Amino acid sequence: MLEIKNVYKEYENGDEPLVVLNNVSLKINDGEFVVVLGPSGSGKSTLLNAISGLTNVKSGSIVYDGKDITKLNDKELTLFRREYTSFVFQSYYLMPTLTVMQNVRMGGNLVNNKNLQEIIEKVGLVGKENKLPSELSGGQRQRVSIARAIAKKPKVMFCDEPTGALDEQTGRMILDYLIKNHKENGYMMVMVTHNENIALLADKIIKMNSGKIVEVIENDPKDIKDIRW
Amino acid sequence: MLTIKQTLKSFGIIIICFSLFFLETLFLSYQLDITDLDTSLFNPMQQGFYDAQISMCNMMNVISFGIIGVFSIILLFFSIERYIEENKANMGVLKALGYSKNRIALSFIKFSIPSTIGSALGYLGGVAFSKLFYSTMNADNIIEDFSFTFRPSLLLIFIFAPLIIVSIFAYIIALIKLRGNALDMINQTEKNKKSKTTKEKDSFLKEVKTTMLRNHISLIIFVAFSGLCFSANIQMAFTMLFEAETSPLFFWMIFGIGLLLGFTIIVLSFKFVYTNNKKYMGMLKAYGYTDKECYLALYGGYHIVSLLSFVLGTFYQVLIMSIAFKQFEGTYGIKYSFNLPGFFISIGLFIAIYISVNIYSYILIRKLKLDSLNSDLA
Ligand SMILES: Nc1ncnc2c1ncn2[C@@H]1O[C@H](COP(=O)(O)OP(=O)(O)O)[C@@H](O)[C@H]1O
Ligand SMILES: [Mg+2]
Repeated sequence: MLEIKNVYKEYENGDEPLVVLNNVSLKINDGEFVVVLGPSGSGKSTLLNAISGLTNVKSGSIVYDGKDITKLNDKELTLFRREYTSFVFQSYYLMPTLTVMQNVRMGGNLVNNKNLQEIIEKVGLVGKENKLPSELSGGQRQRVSIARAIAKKPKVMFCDEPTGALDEQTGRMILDYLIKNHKENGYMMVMVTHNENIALLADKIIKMNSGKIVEVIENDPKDIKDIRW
Repeated sequence: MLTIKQTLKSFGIIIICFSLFFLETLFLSYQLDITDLDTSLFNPMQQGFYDAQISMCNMMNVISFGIIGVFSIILLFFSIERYIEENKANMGVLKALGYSKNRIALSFIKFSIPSTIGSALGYLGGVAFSKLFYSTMNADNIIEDFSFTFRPSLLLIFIFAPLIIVSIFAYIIALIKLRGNALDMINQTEKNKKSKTTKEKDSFLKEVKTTMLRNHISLIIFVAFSGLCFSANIQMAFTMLFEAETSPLFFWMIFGIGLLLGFTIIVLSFKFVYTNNKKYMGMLKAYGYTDKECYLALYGGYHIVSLLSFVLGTFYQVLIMSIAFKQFEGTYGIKYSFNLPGFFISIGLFIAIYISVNIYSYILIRKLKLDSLNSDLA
């Protein structure tokens, strides 16, 4: 379980600091799929960075299974991420010099995962194992980044606008893969988006505005086929 | 678009041009001045000194051009190519916005600014240094009233040659880089070389290391040149001092320029490796790879390249120095021999600098901010 309490973060911004996370508190259960929804600039990505151990906060606590990651130093934080987190970002950050399989191994290697071929099958990339990212379409590249994330067997999957750079059809397919794999593997999944329709897929919708959580909605998740775009 | 401020940040270009034109200003002026002398009234001692100076000049020119000149010119072009490469994503955006290739490429003519600043500083430095240099060369005042002559033509050539050549070069390189598809340029997803079939037992990080090396040939060449340049320049200074018994001034001059140039190039080559791969390192770190693992994957492959290039530089230096000493042999009867202390001091310095730069690079990786991975709207 993840418990976030009074998380506060600001950025230098001339005289007046820019408050990006204003006493955010939140609970996410194991296995839950949560969407953080809000307009651009509302602090969604910063929240995701904070709770995934990519950035530090000024005050507050972020507690995973009794461990407060705001108390960790850089080294310990790296080990935390190694054990807990996977990421799927809008930009795929695939290693351009590595093949699909090698890129998936970036995740698998950390946990000695030998079933990489199986994961490649799950994201529909059979036959592309030895292709380079430059030989793939945007949707295929995002599938590689999903495979890489799954291969790491994370406890929490973080996705920031995973369909942000994709067209509707491809975007739907990517979400489908993400949700299917979430269901199969049962990890916690936190997804950031500004698209209200996508939020309807989640178990819980967290609405943000100006660095604050304005509403938490327990949601009956809809099927990908039943949402508008 | 590329601002003047950004261009000034290309300090490497300034330093390379400075080194080249500092030495050329001194040596070329000296040679021109001495050949301009009226020898008809010389006494035998002056004539002998004069002849020795002429052959000394020839030797200096072989050395200064053969070692420092060649390296600076190659490295100048290489760094401009790398600097333009770093701007590739921006170029892609401009291309996608509909700017013409010509227009985008023309903006890179700005790289002639740091080159010209460097060459102007080099010229001024050379002039400032000339008094000391001339009086050291003409130590016992054997030739009277012999001093640096200001030559407007030389100044013009030294200012305009880099301006024009660099402008044309930057323009052409930018045009070549603009050939790709705009989206691929923005996402930096151009074709890479495929690795051989992957071996299951090879660790992932080893694969990163080897494929990075294989796909960044121009970076390898750059790193290799940094070792080559450092090795050849510094050892040359020692050979000159100990084997040709040049004045300490000459030694310090060559040594100083060699050190400055070598150090700059090593720093530059590491900077280019870093900026080229920063975002992938960020992703590795986000996934929980340690700073040490990232550092080794990124830089580990270059250690051997650097060391080999140092050795190669040693051979190159031997070659050039033997040629130069041949020119000199007739006058002073000095034979070239390899200077071992110089070799050890050079490699000691090289390793010290190399390790420092590596430690710095490691710190850069450790300090790499991870909170921009998802704010990247590319
Ligand atoms: N590194 C940074 N330095 C300064 N301000 C930042 C930085 N990152 C984000 N911000 C600011 O913080 C606010 C929230 O940003 P972000 O969390 O990226 O919002 P969202 O993901 O909801 O669009 C924005 O106003 C943004 O400009
Ligand atoms: Mg965002």
